[in-house]
Amino acid sequence: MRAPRTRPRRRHSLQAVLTAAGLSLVAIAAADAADPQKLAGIGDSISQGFSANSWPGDHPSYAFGQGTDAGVNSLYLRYKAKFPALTKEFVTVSGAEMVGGSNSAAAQAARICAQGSRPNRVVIELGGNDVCNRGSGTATDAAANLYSVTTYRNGLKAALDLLGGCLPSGSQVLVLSMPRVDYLYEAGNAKNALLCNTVWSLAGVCSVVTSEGNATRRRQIGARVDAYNDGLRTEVAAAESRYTGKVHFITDWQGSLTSSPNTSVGAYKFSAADINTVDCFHPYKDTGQKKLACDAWEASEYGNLANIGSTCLR
Amino acid sequence: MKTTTQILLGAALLTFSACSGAGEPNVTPASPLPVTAGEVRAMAAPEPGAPPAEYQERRVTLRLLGTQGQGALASATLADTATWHTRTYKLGETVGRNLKLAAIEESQIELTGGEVPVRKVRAGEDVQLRLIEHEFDTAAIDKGEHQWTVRAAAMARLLGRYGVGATATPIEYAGLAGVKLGPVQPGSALGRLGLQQGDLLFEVGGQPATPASLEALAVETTHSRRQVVTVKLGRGGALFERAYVVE
Repeated sequence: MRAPRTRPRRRHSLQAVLTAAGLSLVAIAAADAADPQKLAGIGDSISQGFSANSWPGDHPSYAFGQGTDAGVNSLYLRYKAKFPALTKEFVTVSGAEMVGGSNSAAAQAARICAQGSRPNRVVIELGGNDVCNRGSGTATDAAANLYSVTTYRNGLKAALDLLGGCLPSGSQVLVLSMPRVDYLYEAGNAKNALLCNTVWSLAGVCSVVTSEGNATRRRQIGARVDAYNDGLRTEVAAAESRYTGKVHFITDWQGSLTSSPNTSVGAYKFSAADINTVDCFHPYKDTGQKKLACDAWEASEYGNLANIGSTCLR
Repeated sequence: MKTTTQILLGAALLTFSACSGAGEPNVTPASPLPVTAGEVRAMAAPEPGAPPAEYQERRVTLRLLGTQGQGALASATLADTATWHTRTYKLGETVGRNLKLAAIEESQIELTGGEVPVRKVRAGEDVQLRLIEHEFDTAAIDKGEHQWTVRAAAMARLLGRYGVGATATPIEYAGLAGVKLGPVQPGSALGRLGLQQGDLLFEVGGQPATPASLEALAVETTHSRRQVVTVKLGRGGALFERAYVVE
């Protein structure tokens, strides 16, 4: 497990060294430039707070990243508490995938790069629709129709390269792992099996797992999600290496539910209380969204990955 | 009018130039070349009976993000590096009308088309292509963020040839009345407007959706008076408003 990050302390150390060299004013100005000034987001319906208050539709005020609801205590509100001048401009779109369509991670990254005032903090949350939009696989492999890990990684890589190229020096990009959709299915069944299965069937909610009656096959889908998250961490590390000194890339993913339970979004079993009562799949504002916000904050430079399990995903 | 030699030379210069996977789109700026009768004859998927004037070329840089599946489930995912719109193609499908996905291997594909020799593209690799598209292919374009542009004249011809393309049954979801789409015929008006089987429509043009709304939507997008037609749409559990800007 990674040691706690103490970015402000690092800044003070740097300042002390530079002060000794007679460059303190320059150093302070440079450090301030790296402070959070504008937060942007790339994501899907979870980032849009879809049905987060159990009313159908997008409700971004209850979303973990851009929300303004005090109960959710979003990433935006947490940054803003430390940096009151912080602004936000999210390009998240319900239905978006990491890989496919017109709102892919790279398409959204390009929109961020086109913003008049570019952000220096970006949070990415995608992946659920990459799984849920695919059809059931073969008789022996329920994941056979899903994007390959290579495809998933290259979709993310394209987005990270765009951000690495366009964001100002000192920016930070946080890439959240994607949740295990097979456990979201189980959370819905625990909530109200009759109602939730009726809604899932009518609205076509993630049918690759909600219409899959075989638990072993649902775990095959879950294993692919784990593989995506492993690939995500590899791409984040590679981007961090490519853009060293310019843009800092980080993720919350520390390992799967089996090896590292409750340490990231992807390693957490969402419970019945964590999801809304409209579609039985998206996170509810006071529980699921709040936990995501906490996870994102602890994964940021002002948090501590080690706190996620004890503080956020209990 | 360009000669056939000029056109083929242009195609040879523009088609299948590979470049590295990262960085800015590498598109050769040039005026579009007209599509010839010979090219139409050589197309992998021509529009039946359509003359060359109904086609146009488009120069793109596509990146192969990757391949997946085997046999009948094999597919390849290609991203347009100018817009980052990404689409997954099955084996044998065409990219534009002129290029055919002839083979899918692990992390590699083969494209063929007309005068162009077989070209292998690896995962992560960019390739510059000359796509030839029929006017129906660009009658409705997804611009992202649930915004579409629709060319009314092309939609009118398309509707006349292929029809509305779907039927719907009334439903109620989360207290909202609407309709659920049955199978949507590829190439039909609703298919071109990006609607899919299982989609839930709650409003069309500000009015509550009924089964009759499908034809109304298709017809409305053929009226070239620069208007916006909105639909309230449910898909995969998400609910959003899509805007068709009709030109």
